[in-house]
Amino acid sequence: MPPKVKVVRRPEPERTSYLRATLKGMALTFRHLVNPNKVTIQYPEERPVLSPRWRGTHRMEVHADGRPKCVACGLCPTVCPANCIRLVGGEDDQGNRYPVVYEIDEFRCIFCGMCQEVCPVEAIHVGVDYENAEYTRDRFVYDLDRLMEQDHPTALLWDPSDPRSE
Amino acid sequence: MAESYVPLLILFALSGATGLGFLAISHILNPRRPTPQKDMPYESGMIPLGDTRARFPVKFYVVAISFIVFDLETVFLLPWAVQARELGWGPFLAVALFVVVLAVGLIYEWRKGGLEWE
Amino acid sequence: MQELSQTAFLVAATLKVLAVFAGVMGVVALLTLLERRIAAFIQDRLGPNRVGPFGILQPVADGLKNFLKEETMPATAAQPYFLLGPLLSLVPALVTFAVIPFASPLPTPWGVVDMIVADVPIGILYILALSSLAVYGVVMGGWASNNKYSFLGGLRASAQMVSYEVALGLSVVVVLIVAGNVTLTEMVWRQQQMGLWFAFPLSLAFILFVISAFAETNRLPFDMPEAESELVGGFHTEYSGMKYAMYPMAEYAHMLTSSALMATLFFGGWDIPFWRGDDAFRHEGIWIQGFDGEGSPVPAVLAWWKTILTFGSFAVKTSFFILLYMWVRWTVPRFRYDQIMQLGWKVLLPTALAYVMVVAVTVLSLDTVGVPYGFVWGAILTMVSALCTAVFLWVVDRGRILSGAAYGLRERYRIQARTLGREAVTPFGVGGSGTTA
Repeated sequence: MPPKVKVVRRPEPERTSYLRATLKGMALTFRHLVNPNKVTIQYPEERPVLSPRWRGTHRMEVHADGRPKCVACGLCPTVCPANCIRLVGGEDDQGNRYPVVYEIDEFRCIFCGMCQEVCPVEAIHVGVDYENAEYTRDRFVYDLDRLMEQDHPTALLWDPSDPRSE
Repeated sequence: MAESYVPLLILFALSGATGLGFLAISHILNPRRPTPQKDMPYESGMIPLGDTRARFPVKFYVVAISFIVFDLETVFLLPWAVQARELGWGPFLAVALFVVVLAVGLIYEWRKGGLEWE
Repeated sequence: MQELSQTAFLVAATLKVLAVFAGVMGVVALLTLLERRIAAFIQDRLGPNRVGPFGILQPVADGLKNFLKEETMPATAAQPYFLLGPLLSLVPALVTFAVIPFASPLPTPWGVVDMIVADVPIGILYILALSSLAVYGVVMGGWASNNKYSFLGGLRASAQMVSYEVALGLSVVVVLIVAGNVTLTEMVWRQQQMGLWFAFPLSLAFILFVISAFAETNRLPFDMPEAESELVGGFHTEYSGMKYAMYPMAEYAHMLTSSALMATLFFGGWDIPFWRGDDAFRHEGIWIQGFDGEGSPVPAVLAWWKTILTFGSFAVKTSFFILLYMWVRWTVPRFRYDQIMQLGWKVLLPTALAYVMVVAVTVLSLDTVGVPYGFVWGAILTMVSALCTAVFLWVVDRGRILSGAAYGLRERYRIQARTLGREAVTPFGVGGSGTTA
């Protein structure tokens, strides 16, 4: 079947009036000039609207008594594509596993959210937060205490209406 | 009439002082940290090749010559234009002849390609 | 209405110099902010509005930054010329405003002070001379940097500015034919006498002047010299800090002066339209408002509130042209360099020359017939100019002279063929060797 041919009529240079084209362009820019709707968000008075699936800096969930939910299974450092999670696991005296050292280097992190997806106990989450500027580089390595005390909402990686989500 | 130039002199002095003042203040307030990379002339990050005082295209010279001719034509037209209405038709015809001669020169230069690609 | 004494004149002159200088510097600083705000508004965003209320202190922040920046200088640069380039660009730009009248004369207890910094008899020739000086700053900056890019950029910039000075001068010649004097105060007076601003009787000269002024000040669509994507920074590649900042300051000052010139030469300067009350001119020592029916002068009534009103009128007109500069900048893409040169030499120069002749013939005919200088005189000239403008826009604008690369190539083949005395064989078909451009 022969392909559909679309004939584009282009104006010949000897027949176009550049003045008319210029004036049309100037009318367009003038309309934009007086248009009161601008796309600028006046930060910090206005904040950008983030979707619930937005992935930002991490947060560690805790049990009611303050212990981290993490069981130091080692899945998240294994799956992390950027190699930014440092986990040293240990057992406490009752035989429960817990993270002795758990650090996330936010500089290396690419905020993909795979650590939250893979965690079997829903301990580590990526959060909906971006306002975390620091003065020195080493403040960007979040250790366990800092991860536990973040209080921003976490990313909603699964659709709540999906019956397979949890 | 000469005293109307005095404000001009004052303005020149003030502007010159301001320009020099800008240069002086920035010279005093500048940090000076020269590094070898900063001292090199900029050529999109590469080491500059060739001498910068190389020969440049001759079409700039042609533009300059054409400019001189036509600017002098403008200069000769200026005194006539100021008095054009008082002088009447005779001087106008003389000036028209002058302009026609130079216009012939312009057409010649145009046809010969002297105004091309510049 | 007595004349000013010597000391009163000096005092008034100094005050005017200080006021105009401060005004020009202030407006130039505000123009940097205004450019960014208008650019942002056209692009559907807000510009800098954080630094002060509506961002007013942004130029202060920029100036402070430029003072404190390190100024690098290439080790092989020619030092005295490197320093001199920005200075030569800035100083002529700041002093050019001196001969432009910006308000009607102010009556003070010591005499009548006319609102122009220096009412020199050379008027507009001063401005033409100083705009030629501006080329020096550009060339010197480019050459002294000892950088091939800067050198070529400076050369191209100077070639462009120089090409359009001819068209600028010729459009001013047209205005001089009608005005009869080079001083700008006389030009304002003539427009007041005629009852018509020169933009109407000399519409083609106005168009040519606007185009040439855009090219002189290196503003888009003619800003190839500082085209950031083409030649890095052009002639100001090696400059940083305050020496660099003096170049845009000079450009904005030139923009301000060109807008003020457009307002004065073609739109009546400080004249308020449709009102005879503000007309004023020093005729043989006394200030007159016009001539009545028998030709005897009618004295002018000067007042301080008229000065303020006319200054407002001048400011509105100049601001409109400055906004036009910025509006066009963010609308039109940049011309290619050979298109710029073609436009300057092949379109503007012949048109300006022909228009000078047409206007001279019309003016002399009107005077020979005996039409008095006034509204009717101006109206007839308006019709002739409207015809010339229509011819210019409809005939010349059809892409025949100024068009894309293909046309230039066709032209080059034709010239080659003509030189060799045979028919041109071009990729566009076989063409005759005798056809004209």
